Amino acid sequence: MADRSAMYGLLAEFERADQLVAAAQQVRAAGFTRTDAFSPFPIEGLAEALGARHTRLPLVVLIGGLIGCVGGYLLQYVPSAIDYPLNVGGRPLHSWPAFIPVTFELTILCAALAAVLGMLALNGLPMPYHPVFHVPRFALATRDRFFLCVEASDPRFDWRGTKDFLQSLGAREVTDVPR
Amino acid sequence: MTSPAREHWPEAPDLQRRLAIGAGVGAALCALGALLDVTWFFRAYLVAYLFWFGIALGSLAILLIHNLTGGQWGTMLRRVFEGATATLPLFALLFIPIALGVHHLYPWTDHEHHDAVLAEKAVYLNVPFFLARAALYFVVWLAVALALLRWSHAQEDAADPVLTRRMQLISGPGLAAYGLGITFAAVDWVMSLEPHWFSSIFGFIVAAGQGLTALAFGILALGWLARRPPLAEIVTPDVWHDLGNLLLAFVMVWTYVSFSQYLLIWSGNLPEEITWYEHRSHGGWGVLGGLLIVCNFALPFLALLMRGVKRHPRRLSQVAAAVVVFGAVHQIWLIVPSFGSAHSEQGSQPWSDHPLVWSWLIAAALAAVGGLWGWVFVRRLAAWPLVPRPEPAIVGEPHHA
Repeated sequence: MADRSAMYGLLAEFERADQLVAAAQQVRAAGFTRTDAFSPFPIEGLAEALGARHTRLPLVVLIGGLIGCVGGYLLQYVPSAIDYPLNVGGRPLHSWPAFIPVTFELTILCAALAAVLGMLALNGLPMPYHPVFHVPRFALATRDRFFLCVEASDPRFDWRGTKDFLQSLGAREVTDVPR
Repeated sequence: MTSPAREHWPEAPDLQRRLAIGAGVGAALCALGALLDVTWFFRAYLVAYLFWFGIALGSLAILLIHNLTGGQWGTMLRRVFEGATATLPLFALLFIPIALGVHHLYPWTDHEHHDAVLAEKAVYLNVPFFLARAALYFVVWLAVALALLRWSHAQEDAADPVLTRRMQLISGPGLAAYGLGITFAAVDWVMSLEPHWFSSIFGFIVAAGQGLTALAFGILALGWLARRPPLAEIVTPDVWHDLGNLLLAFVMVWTYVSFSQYLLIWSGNLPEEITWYEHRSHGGWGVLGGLLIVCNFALPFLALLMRGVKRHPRRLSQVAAAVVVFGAVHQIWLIVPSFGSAHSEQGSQPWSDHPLVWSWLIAAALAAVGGLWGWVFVRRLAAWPLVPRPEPAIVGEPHHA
């Protein structure tokens, strides 16, 4: 099973959340970069321990918000000032104060949608297939076990050495993940 | 009194000395202003009083909210807000000049004009009832504030879950009493400067402004205190992040209620309502109003969207400083244009009555009241350890806000 081309990586199973965080820190300190962790619930500090890189999500949300803001304003401005210029109670056609509430609501709506959809897209979700599904015990990741995966594509990956290293971090079991 | 905080805070006496000098210079200039024009003295004093009072009362409101919600952010700021709340008795005392100047400040005290509307409103707007109401507000606020402070300080000697529970129990009714009190006080002290005008959201605008200024002041004070131990070690970037988010929420609440009032009055465009905004959009007041929108909403809003600003104590403190300064501008913009409203109906305003001529007096009054207030605040803050003993309910809470 030392054939790197047939392998996705190694999956280490831990029994406690703090073991996973500690192992992630060790793995990162050892220079591994292509890693991922799986847990039944969000763990504070895990993303930092794995060395999560800067995310582009804030930019996506900002763009969504700006689209909502400008779009919401134009949605009111174009009909009431250009397409159907009606005199309503003697107010100017471009009555900007009246446009603010809808503009605000659409800004929030579009920013929130951009946040949810952008998060899914940047995470590559939905993902119907992932190599770790080959490991039968991985199903426990949704219950009470914590997993750390080191991918074979990592430049520092070396099947024997990495497996021993993960074992030394207190893993209950280290399993090969086929592609 | 030697207290644990003094050891960690050797600058306190020096700071108090400088505040006392500021108060002295401001008071001297105020005395000069009172000799030149006693009416303008009372006007400037009202602005200064309501600005600093807003920080004290806003701090009480945030303390009450924190007792109900909990969270790390409030534990870090607890001593700062308690110090500011402990200055409320000072404001009961400082209300005396306003009581003395009530005839100079409020047009409804003048019965010679035979104004039909004011004659009807005299049932509520008359001097004895005005003073009795002010006394009542202070009795309620002081009762809530002093009870909270006593229990919180008792907690210092022995962590007792009964005290925590008691503080939570008083905080719900206390918050309701605060809300009612500030609504009526805003009507009495600010809205009745233009007694023909009315707006039911006005009390909330004043309360939101006070809460915003108080939180910004708290962040500013914490930013200063957390440069050294013991706060330096425990105020983590996560705490700053929470405070930044909270400040963003307060900026938005203030903007929301201020804009709500404007939108309704603007759409209605009724003569008895729109005049208030007329007085605040001509003769330079419009420029100040625009500055408020930019510096008290747009810039803090955009800055506080950024993670880098919220997690960085110095940058967050800069935003908070701007919000405190524009809290004073907001106070000026709410109050001072009312005094020109009589002129705008008669026509031209004599130069000697122009607000710009008297802006130095407003600045002097802000320094005088602020110096005195700051002196008391530092004294109260230095009397207790800057880090409150962990409350029993907070122990075991997960490490996030």
